[in-house]
Amino acid sequence: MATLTSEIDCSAHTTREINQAIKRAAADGVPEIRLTNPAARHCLGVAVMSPIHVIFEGPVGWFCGGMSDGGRITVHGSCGWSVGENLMSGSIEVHGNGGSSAGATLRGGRVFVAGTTGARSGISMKGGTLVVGGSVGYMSGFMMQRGTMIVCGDAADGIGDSMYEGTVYVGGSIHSLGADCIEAELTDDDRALLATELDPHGISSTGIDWKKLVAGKRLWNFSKHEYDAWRGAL
Amino acid sequence: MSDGIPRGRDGHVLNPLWVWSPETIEDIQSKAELGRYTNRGLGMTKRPPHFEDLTFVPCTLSRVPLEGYREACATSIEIGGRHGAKPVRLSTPVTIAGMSYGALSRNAKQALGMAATRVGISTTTGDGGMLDLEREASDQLVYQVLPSRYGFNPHHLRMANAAEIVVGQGAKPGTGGVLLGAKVSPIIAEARTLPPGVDQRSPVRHPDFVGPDDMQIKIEELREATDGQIPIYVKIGACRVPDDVKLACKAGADVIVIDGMEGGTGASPDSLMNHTGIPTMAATVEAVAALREMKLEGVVNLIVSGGIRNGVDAAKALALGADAVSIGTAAMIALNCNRPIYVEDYEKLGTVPGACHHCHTGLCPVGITTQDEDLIARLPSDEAADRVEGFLNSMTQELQMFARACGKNAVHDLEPEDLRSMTIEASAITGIPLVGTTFAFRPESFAQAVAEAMAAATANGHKAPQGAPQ
Repeated sequence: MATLTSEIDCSAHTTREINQAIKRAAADGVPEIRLTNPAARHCLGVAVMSPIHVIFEGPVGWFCGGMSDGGRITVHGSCGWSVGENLMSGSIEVHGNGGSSAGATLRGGRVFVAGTTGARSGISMKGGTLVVGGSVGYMSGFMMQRGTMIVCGDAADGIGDSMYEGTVYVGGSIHSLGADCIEAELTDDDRALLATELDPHGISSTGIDWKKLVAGKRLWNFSKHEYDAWRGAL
Repeated sequence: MSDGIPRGRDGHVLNPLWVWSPETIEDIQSKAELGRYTNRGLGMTKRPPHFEDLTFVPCTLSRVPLEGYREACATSIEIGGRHGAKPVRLSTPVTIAGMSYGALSRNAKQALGMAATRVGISTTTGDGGMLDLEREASDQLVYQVLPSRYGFNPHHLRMANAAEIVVGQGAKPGTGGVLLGAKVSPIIAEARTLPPGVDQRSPVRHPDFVGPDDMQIKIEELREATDGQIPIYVKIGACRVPDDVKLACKAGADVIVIDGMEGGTGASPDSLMNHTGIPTMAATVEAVAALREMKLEGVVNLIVSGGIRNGVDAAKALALGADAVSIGTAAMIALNCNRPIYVEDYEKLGTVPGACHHCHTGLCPVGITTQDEDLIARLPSDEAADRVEGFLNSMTQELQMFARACGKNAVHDLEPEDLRSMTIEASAITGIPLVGTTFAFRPESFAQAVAEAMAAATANGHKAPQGAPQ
């Protein structure tokens, strides 16, 4: 069992060199790699396919951890758009704010953003869990297919628009629901799930007026008799 | 009366109104019944300006042709090496376009892969991800990155020979895809992470980027995910071609695929297919000019698609400056689409072989655009691959035939000078002189002709009109 902790100063390397170093370390069984001075650079930690803990000591740019499968990524800073895009498994924790499209097309694993994220967070999610400690922007959860999105703060306009399936929990206020997004009854199972997801991040799920949002399924198949539902969707 | 002219009971000629033609009346009544726009498959019904409007002018006394069947005529090309990736090697400048597993049956996808491998070209995935059978069958497989990301898997990306970011599709640029519930079988639903039987509407915008500057970062992500080993294509529905080509080049594309309005689709609103985009011939001319302006001709490779029917269309596209063409509908037709077999099943769909565009129903009589097991069994992969292989070989033969006739020992040496326009419209679009003239009906040609006439008049002692350019 390797016990080495590698450290790389990003300022001295190209993005390709950094990503290849991460992949090599993972292949060599290095359990943890620490990257300093990421300087909000894009596409760091992309396609990490083996178990390794990647720690960025500073802000990262777009697509951090995108297309990864099985790694663990921690960002001590904020991140740009599309953090964890198409993550297959593993986890990403951002101890700052996120950009738009956080967790876009997430398939598995978990993405946690401690702060606020932008528009279209959780767009086209196909599985996995996205947890946002703060609020999310416009049209978050758009065309969600499966998975779970937990928003501890507020949701901007159009949350859950055109969802196929999946579940969105919102702890704060909802500016408006998207097309065919409806509120469902919060069950004890839901409360247990929220506690399981939030407790590890030091966020209490109790004392919050959680709203559970799901697909109304009126957009699953076209009906001319429900044209009002389709007016904005076709 | 039996003269084919519609007549009333008393024999007088019935004169349908042009605006309210029988087709328009049927369209209105169909929409009134459905309560929405009408969907169908395949492509446009209108006749656009087309490669058909160009003709080759092979060698005669002024140029020497190559001996057909004897002298070599090269066809191969490598594409996508702009940024050091391993290029895609095409033995002939034709590729199989992206068509989804879901729109197409697994046998159809497998057969296309087998045929492409036998011929030495690439095939392309589609909305719905990579099918194992397709990967196994295809030596060179281009993996599409679509807005929906249905079935997108980074492990599959890393198994691909190229990645293609799909910004739009010629048949319906500016809109997302449709897969009606009849085709969302349990297997397809699972592949796309959707509820079975749902009317699947794909988004048009990518979930993780928006504009061209963003796409540059997306391309960087794809390169990082694949260690820079595979070329990145960008496929664009032909609209504002010069701007789009330049933006794609700037974003770092290795290959640009321009899909003209004749392009096909598994299902789309009928009105979109007939009223969006520009024809492939026009798009080719504009794309080549844009690459030339950026001094990237031959550096960023150009593939054109949309209604390419044979090696003749391909030869004309190459003569206009494309590096390769891509075929979708033609490949489907080679598989067996619209073949007059199982005619009774065409009739059940309310159509006939030769005019069927009922791909969207999922009841394809010949097993191509269906997920029904009984129908899929009508398309044995190996036999279907034989037909596509035969068709691809015929395209290569035709390409070589026209190149040799034009005195070229490589199909990529075909050039605009080998062509003449058959219509004023084609001349205006391509800048290729109209047959029987040396005149290209382009704005700059008119300006030059006027300038020359005025210069001649001035030389003869006539004064130029006041305000005329000097």
